[in-house]
Amino acid sequence: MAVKIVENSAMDLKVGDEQAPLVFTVTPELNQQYLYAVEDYHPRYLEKGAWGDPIIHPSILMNMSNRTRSPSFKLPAGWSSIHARDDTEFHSAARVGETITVQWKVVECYERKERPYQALEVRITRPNGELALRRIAHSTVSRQEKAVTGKSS
Amino acid sequence: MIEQDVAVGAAFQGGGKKITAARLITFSGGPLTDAGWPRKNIHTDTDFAKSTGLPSRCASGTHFQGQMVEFMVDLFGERWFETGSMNVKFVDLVLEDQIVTAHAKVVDKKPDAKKGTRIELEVWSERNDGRKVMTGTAAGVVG
Repeated sequence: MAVKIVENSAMDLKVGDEQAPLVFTVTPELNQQYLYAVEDYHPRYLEKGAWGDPIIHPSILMNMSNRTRSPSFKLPAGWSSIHARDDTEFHSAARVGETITVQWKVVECYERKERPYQALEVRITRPNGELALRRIAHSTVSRQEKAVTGKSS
Repeated sequence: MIEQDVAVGAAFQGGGKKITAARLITFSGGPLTDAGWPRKNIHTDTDFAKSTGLPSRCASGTHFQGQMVEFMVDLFGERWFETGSMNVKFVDLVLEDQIVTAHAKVVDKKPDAKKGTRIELEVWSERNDGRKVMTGTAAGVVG
C-alpha cells in the first residue's frame, strides 16, 4: 500500500496520514550520548551480560520517535510542538548497533480547551521487523501570543 | 527490584536528577555526529525557547519520561523491555537546572498464569519545588 506523505504543516494532517519515516542506527556512541543525558550508566547498556548484547537505552527510542524527528515534520516559525500524553507498550529490547525504523500515523484529531490535538500511532521496529515499542502519542501546538520583533508597532 | 509479594500501597522513589543545560542539549540536540549539532529547539536554545513564549530552555517530555522508564527497568529488570507499559500525561514544564524525581506506588496486582504477576503502579515525576510534571500509570510483570 502506498504511503501518503504529507509535506505541509503537521497540523494539517488528517486521520490516516503518515509522517515520513525515520531510519537511524544506534551506535555505541549514540547510546552513550543518551546515557550521559539521563545519567544512567547501568552495564546493561554498555556491555554484554545476562541480558545479552548491550541494550539501546529506551530514552533514545522515546526521543527519536517524537513526531518532530520525522523528516517531513513542519511547523510555521514561532510555533512549537507540545507533547501532551503518551501511551507506550514495550515489546522487545533493541540492541546497540541495530538500525531502527520509526513510523508515524495520525489516528485521531480533536480539540481540547480550544487547542487542536493530534494522536499519532508510533511504531518503532528493529531490523528484523520486530516491534520494539509502540506508542500512541498525543500532541498539540503552541505559539507566543505576541511575537518578539524588537520593533514597536 | 519489585518482588511478587510486594504489598499494594508500597511506594518507591528514584534518584533526583538535575536537568542541566549540558544534559538538555545532549538529550535534545540530535546525534552528536549530525552536521550543525545541536539542533536548535526549545530544549537546546534559550533564544529559540523565548521566541515561543517560554521563560527558558525546557526539557523534552521524553527526557523525564526516559528517566521514568529507567526507574521501571530498575524495578522490573530487563523483563520490562518485553512486558512493560506506561500511560502518562505531561502536566507541567521542567526548566533548565530543575531537579526531577520519579515516583511509583503499587495500586494493584493481577496473577497471570503464563507470565507471572502483573504489578500495576501509579507513577509520577516531581520537580524539586514539589510540582508534579508527569502523572499516569505503568505496569510490568514479575515472577
